[in-house]
Amino acid sequence: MHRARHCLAPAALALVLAVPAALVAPAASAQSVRDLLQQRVPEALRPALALTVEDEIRAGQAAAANLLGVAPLVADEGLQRYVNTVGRWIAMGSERPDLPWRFGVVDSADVNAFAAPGGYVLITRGLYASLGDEAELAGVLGHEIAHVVERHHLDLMRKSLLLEMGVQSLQKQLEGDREALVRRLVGTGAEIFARRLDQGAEFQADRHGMVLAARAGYSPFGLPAVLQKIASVDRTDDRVTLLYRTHPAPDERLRQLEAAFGAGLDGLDRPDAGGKLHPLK
Amino acid sequence: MLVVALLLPLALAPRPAQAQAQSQAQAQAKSQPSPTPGTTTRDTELKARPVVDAPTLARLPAKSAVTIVERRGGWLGVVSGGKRGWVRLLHVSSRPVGASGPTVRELETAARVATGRAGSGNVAVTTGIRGLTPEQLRSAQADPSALDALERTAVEPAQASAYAAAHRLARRPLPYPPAPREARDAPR
Ligand SMILES: [Zn+2]
Repeated sequence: MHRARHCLAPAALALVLAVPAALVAPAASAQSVRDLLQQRVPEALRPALALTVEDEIRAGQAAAANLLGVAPLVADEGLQRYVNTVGRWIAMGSERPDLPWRFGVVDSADVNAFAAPGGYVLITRGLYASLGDEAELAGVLGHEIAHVVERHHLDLMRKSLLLEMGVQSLQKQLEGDREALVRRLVGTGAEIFARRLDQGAEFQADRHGMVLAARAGYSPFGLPAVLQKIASVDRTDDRVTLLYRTHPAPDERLRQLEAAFGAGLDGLDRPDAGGKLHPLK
Repeated sequence: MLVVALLLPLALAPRPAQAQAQSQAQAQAKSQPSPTPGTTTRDTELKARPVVDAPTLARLPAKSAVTIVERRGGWLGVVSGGKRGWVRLLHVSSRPVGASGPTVRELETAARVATGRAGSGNVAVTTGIRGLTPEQLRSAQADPSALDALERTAVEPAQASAYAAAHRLARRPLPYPPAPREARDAPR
């Protein structure tokens, strides 16, 4: 659908990598960078520069496995199955219903949730414990599902790898061992989850998260309700440090949601919809 | 159990002494936050009931102080200027209550006791007690069995659909809204 976004022409890549030069040069060359970025990739290079869905899934699996190394799954199959049920139902209403969606609650007091490429979504016990009802869970999972659907973290991985390797060696890598490529995409440990996306991607995930929850039949207001709770936590508490590091402040996110939706969601409340939150042991 | 009892109120920010009572009341009143200070982010109306066409009790200018006592869908039950009413959820931001929440040290001690790690001499296992750091994430090593566990509890579309049907979750068509243009410049 947006293939061009995922496979840049080598010439454009070379210019991206030479950003400092482009920045000091006048507007004319900024324009030509843009032109090059919009150029279509030559047919012959496409297979080499594009990542397949299989690559995406394997990268997500590896990133998730690394995160689980530091924050293991909560040992409660009933809870895990419950979160998978709600998550799967929401993901089925997204633009990528056929990914192998996997959801999990991980054992950490950190207040957070993580999306890895390919459909891997993990929420911490700290965040789960602060949820008030299933619509709030739906809002949180909706935000993470939106990151996966929009390939936000995959794009971040790809950009990092380009900057690190340069075009030539990346091309060589792409022609060779795919497993090595996936390893390099994932990077060190679970570092991808400590990195910040651009703000626009987070605001988009918030908007789409509310819509995805509403499409699944929930009240769309679960996500902003959770953001309000997070805003009520002292931000020097180390359980929200990572969240503030990786996301815009919750009050700014609320403001963006209000600006995007206004009263447009009136009438979509469904107080009786959904089941009960599975209790934490 | 105790870990949960103490962690639960994190986002609700009560005093530690309230934590236990709160976790007991959790089943009945989970979606009701304990009173939290909030601020209106724009001009809005205090309504008599949580519906658009309810009578307006007061007009609240941006930055009005409110106390959030309840949530019902897209509406917050608040007290403002001595009046109890309802404002749109998206017109309110909350802020920390102050230093009254449990400290991280208290939580850590409680968690060790709860998991039987106190006095065991093994202080290496502290997962789940405090926030995650970038250093921790960078040094994370894959847990080879973890993906199997994740697979084991996966849910297929048919099961998810059955759950939805049993819980009045009806699919609704709804497009994504575009990014707002004015939000960046909105008054703070
Ligand atoms: Zn996010």
